[in-house]
Amino acid sequence: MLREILQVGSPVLRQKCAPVTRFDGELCELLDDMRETLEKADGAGLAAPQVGVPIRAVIVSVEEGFFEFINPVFVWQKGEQYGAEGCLSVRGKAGKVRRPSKVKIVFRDRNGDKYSLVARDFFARAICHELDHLDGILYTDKADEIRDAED
Amino acid sequence: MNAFLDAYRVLSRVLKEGARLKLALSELPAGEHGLTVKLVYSALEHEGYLSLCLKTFAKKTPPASVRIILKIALSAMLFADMPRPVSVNEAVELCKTVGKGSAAGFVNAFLRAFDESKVAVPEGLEGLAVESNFPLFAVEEIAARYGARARDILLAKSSGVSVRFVRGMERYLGLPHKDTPFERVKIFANFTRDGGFSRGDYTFQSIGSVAVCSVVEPCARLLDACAAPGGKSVLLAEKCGQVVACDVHAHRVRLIESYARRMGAENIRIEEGDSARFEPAFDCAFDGVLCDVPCSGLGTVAENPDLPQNKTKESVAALGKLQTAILENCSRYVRPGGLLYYATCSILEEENDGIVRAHLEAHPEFSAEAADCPLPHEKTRYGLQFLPDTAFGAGFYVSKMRRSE
Repeated sequence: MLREILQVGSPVLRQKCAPVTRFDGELCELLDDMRETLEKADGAGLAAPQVGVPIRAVIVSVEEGFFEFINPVFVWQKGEQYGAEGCLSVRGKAGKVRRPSKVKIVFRDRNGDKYSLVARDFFARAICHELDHLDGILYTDKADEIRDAED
Repeated sequence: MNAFLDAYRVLSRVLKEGARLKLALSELPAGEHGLTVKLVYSALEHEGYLSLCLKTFAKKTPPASVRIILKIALSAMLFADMPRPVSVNEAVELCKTVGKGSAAGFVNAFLRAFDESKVAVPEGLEGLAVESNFPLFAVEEIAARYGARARDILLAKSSGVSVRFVRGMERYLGLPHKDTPFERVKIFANFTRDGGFSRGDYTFQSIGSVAVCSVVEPCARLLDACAAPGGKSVLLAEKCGQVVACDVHAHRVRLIESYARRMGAENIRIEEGDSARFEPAFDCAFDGVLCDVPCSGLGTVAENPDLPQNKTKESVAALGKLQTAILENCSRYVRPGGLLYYATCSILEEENDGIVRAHLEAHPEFSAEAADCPLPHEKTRYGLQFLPDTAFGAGFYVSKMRRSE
């Protein structure tokens, strides 16, 4: 089921999200809905608070594949990259943000099993952007140049 | 869809003919086998529970092939979310396809009447045996030794695919994985073999196997007495001058050859021979001897759900004779002052400390040495016991003994 993507100004987007404690059918349903919503919006990632659920769950869809990260935490962040970013909750804008070029995270999957993963370049950027959402941070807080997006 | 038929073929090979699951699966015609694999694994993982379901709802025990058909249909309903009418239909069709048309009516009636809420799982250890699919004698032993932890040990799930890297590991770390205490061993949720495999960039090796190798001390000349398929020999060749890899079966010796070639290990000499029979040329000829003996495999049930089939106290005792014979014979190959290692992929005391104790009592020239390993383990009297709940699903054992000068 498609869910509504909240826009900047909504208080849920500014909240520190709670860790997921129950890996149950409700979580699966949320993740499935988020995926459907992300595909429809043609985005690279979506965090649960963006659809109004303040829990620590994000999905990322990049060249490397489709990923679900529950309770994700950085193990380390290395290097630096500088580039354009947008957000489904900040429609019509784009900005340039400095991010690490390589990150390692630990996370759980929807069954609650614990994994880690190393991401680089755009994948790393997408992860940083989505994880910021879980602490109520939007890329516009960090970008040094925000413009109207061209499309 | 012929997943039911394929599952029937595989389960018949395993349950009626005693074939190993992985072999039976490899005999399927090429194609997409997702549902077949799901049905076969859940039928075997829940074999105890499904047998109980059959007992509850069938007045008389049906013939073996009908039991298999019912277990497949129940697996589909209970563990693969297949709607009951679809599963009933497939099962009835399967009866006809495999020449059991006369049972179609019974299968139909059984599956329609089946009511999971009426299946009473027994209490206590018997219930744990049903749930975990371990034979009752094994459940009793583990419960006696580990108390409440027995449940976690016996119900531990597979952690995924264990991959040991030689080079190029960085390329694969973008896939979800678990870090292990061994820097070059990662466990992946999913891992698809690519060109790196044939180049020898990595190999699929159980973390338990890597842990056993970590206990072996570097030395000039090592004998791996039960070496096939060669995973340990190849890893040990990295830290030993020369490894002599021995196995009793000719076709398994060829597995070692291709493994060593793929991984580019050149200091391995491969020999076909029975490690339970004395080879004069090996007398006192090695600094270290590893006896990774044939065993019940009950430490790897999470990976191999077919293993508990036909495992009885008697079959374990029979294996014990072979384990003792190999250890006894191979201990003569250790030079004075050298090291003897005994390893299994079992969690049963009688295959582990039990065999080592008897050896030490009969051979005062050997004494157990302290060993350590970064993979979580329990220290037993004579060795290290890795347990599935804390060691990424691996229930392995290794003991280290020194021969006096």
